[in-house]
Amino acid sequence: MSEAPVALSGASPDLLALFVWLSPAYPVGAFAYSHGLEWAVETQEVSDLASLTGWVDDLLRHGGPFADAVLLAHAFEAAREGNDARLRDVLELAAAFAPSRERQMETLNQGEAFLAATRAAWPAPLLERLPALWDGRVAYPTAVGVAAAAHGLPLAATVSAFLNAVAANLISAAVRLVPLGQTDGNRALAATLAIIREVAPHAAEMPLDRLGGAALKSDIASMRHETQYTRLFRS
Amino acid sequence: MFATALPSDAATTIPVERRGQGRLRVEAQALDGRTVRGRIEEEGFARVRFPRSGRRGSALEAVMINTGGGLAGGDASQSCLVAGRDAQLVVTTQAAEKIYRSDGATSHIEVELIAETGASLHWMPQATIVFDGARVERSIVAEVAPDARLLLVEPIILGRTARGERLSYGSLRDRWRIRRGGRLVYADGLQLDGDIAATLDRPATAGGWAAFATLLLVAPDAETRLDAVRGALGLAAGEDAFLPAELPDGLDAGASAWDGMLSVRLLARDGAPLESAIRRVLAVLGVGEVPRIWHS
Repeated sequence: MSEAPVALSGASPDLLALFVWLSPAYPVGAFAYSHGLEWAVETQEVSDLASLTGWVDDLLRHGGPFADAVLLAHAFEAAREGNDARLRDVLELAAAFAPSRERQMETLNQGEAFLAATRAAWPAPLLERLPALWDGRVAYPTAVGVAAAAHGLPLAATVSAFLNAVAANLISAAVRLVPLGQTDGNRALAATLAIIREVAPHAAEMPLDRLGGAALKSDIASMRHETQYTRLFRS
Repeated sequence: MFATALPSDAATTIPVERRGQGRLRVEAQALDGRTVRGRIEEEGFARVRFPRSGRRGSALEAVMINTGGGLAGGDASQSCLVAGRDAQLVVTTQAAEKIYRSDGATSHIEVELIAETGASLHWMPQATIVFDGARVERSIVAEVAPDARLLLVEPIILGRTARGERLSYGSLRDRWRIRRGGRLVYADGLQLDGDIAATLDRPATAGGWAAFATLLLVAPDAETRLDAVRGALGLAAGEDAFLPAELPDGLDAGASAWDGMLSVRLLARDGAPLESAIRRVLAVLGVGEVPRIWHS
């Protein structure tokens, strides 16, 4: 080949750690949580590819995943600034920002598992200092934000990768629950990427006072899931 | 939620000094096993009354009145309600609070609730009705002593549903921050902006329904009430989960309890099934009666 070789390092940011941390294989136990989706399948709100992509679209724009992306961005920025007081406030808010018992468990259990795994294999001074700064439990998005900042990863890519991991986990849950074929699952993943591209920049610049959304039916689904008779998921 | 192509605060035409302001502070104190009025401050359009007929048991009932008859764009309302040590205070409003269509300016509502040690504070205003085109930002902050009790019930109706109106555009932002013993235990946020009707039509948001409420109880025994609340709503509870849930027509609801709190989310087609559900939940929470003013 006479063409110049494509540069394989240097020009673009190194995102490899994000690929690992936000892959389904990272030991946060994401596969155990459906964010109330299991109830939406039970009630037939989610029953096929179209209703699944609609449900995930709603959550990315108005639901828990969007709020989580906002919390991630604020934790990241507070950590990067070295502003301990701001970081403590974000960690406290993220730990309390849950509409139901299972939604709080979902975010706190994954947050703690993420921190434990990342401290062990990707140590950083800030991760060690975190318990001195905040004595409560750490929600998943804020754990990801702090780790990304501690390792110099870029915010925009971290937010997009986080939203993609959350959406992919929901789709994977639906593929098992509805059930859907792998091809439909992949179509849902592809449809979701466009929404993430649109939503991620908004999440990254949303002030913390405007944290929230409008996914009331999703919140109710997570509450109803607590008494669902047959359940595969912990949320 | 984040797309805004509508009039912003920059389009404001009425000077700030002409906009309505209301500020209220009510302190309730325990005295010989009863609760009596403490310091009261009223400013602007904000008033409070303590109807004799509303006195029940040892609690003091306060009824808030907005003499302006609602909030227009740019109006600001501040209320601070304090249940002092061992006091029992029930606060409601004389009428549904109406948030009128805005000329571009945002109305602000700030509520601060304080329940000191041994106290009980019930915040249960009548519904807030958000007119089409309204812009409102509300903040509810509370500080609860570890052994105190706080009950919040906040019904919101989007559009004058009785005349077929929907909330199609405008802005509604609601922010809850509840602290117990100084620590944040519950936070919630509602953000509706831009094409609100399209947002509310979505399956994971409101499914096109226009009325909703969050009910939150923070109390040492809050979690023990969960099964009773689910039963009152028509939700299968505990071991009976195999029975079909029998929610009334026009109502969707869920309840959950954790960390010394009980939370109920209600979504309804319009105001009637919403209010009926709230009454049933309050009855099993030991709020023997809703404030008398609700019946008028």
